[in-house]
Amino acid sequence: MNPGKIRRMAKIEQFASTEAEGYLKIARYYRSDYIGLHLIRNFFLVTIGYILLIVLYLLRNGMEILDTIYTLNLMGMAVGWIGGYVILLAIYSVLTYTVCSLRFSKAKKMERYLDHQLEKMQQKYEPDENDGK
Amino acid sequence: MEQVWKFRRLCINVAEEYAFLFIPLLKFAVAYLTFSTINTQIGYVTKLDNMFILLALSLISAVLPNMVMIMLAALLLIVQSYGVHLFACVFVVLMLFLLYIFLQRFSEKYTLLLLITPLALHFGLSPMVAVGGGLLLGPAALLPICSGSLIYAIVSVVAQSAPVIHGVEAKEFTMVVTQLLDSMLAKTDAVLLLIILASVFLIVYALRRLSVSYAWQIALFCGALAFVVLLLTGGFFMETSMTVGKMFPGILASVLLGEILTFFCCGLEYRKTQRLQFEDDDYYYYVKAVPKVDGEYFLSDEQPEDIKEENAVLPEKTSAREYRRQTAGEDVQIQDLESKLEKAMQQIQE
Repeated sequence: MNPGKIRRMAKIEQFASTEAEGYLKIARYYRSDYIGLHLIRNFFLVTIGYILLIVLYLLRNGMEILDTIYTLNLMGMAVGWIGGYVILLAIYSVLTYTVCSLRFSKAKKMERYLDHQLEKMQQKYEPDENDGK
Repeated sequence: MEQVWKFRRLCINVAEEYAFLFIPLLKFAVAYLTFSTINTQIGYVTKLDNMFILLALSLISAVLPNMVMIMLAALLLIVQSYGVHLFACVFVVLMLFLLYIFLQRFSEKYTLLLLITPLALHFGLSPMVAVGGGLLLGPAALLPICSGSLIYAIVSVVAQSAPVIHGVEAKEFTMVVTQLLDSMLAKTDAVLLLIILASVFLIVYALRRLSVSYAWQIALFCGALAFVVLLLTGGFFMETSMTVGKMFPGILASVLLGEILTFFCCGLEYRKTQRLQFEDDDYYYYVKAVPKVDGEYFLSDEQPEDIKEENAVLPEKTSAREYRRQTAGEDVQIQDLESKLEKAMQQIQE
């Protein structure tokens, strides 16, 4: 058994299971798949969140709205709500895209670093193993 | 002074050696404080206000991942809110869900700050979170700090509204929701504190990263000063019950914490800074080398001098540079920096 090889393998495994663990899972995706998945998730979450905000607004102001329902500009209110939803969705989609892109590039860097460490170990210790044979 | 650095090294060695014990103990303490604070603040489900239950939950949180602690705290908060009123429970669930959707889902790191921030706010030690986070952590910590401030606001709203809404019939749910939402929207303290914490965190982080001497100390004191200035300014424009007097112990504690963190985490001896200038075929280098107190080049007797070529000191490895080139995927042959420097030195001497 080669103590140097074991030490290096232990360090690589420690890195892979602690610092790089989450990133290695991300690196298995294609970039477009990873970002697309999170954008779809973002769409559903923002839609649910916006509906909840409207529900809270209606619970808070429900009685006033019911009292003035005949004089309210319902079309204007609906247009305002839909416009707000579109703006909110756009903002969070851009945020999601940016965050996921940064995470993906970091994940790929971690993967390349890990591959590089494995290659270095192979290059360093493989000649010894071949001599042994 | 050497005794001080030896004491520092001893503390770090003990902490590293017994980390398997200290980390679960700290987690246990945070968990116990969180659960008992929730019970103290709301506490309408008296069955849960039991020492053994708290200890058991804290023990579970200490040995399992951080997310378990956060989920248990959220569950306890939801159950205690249910004890106040059904729709208080619905309100808390909705608020936590909205917090996750619009804020917390972008940050997966530093999740323990979701519990530490509300605890610090509860005990009036909020500056410690902003200053400590700015010194130790990265920008990713900003979201959990903001989320933690909002969680504290949610808990305070339920606690303050509990005497009014407890016992109200379920069909009067609009009154309960109105009371809770109005309290939430009227919480100018929470908004001001969120803005101040975020600003102080960013100021401390930005100053700490500067390549000036005593950057950590500058960041720490500027952060404390910024807290005071923002608090005074915010109090001028918004109605708030927070005063500098009330926050003074927290500000003092944050300065103390910052000094402790600087001592243990930033072991740089700025008085022995060396400034180097050298060139190779491609670049002219201006290098500032600050020795670490437990590093190889920490010399106890020499004074810092401006560079003379014969005093040039180089690091033996360029591992960071090599790693950056290799991970960029470039197939670049890495040239020997030392041989190039020797060549340059020979040319200068000639």
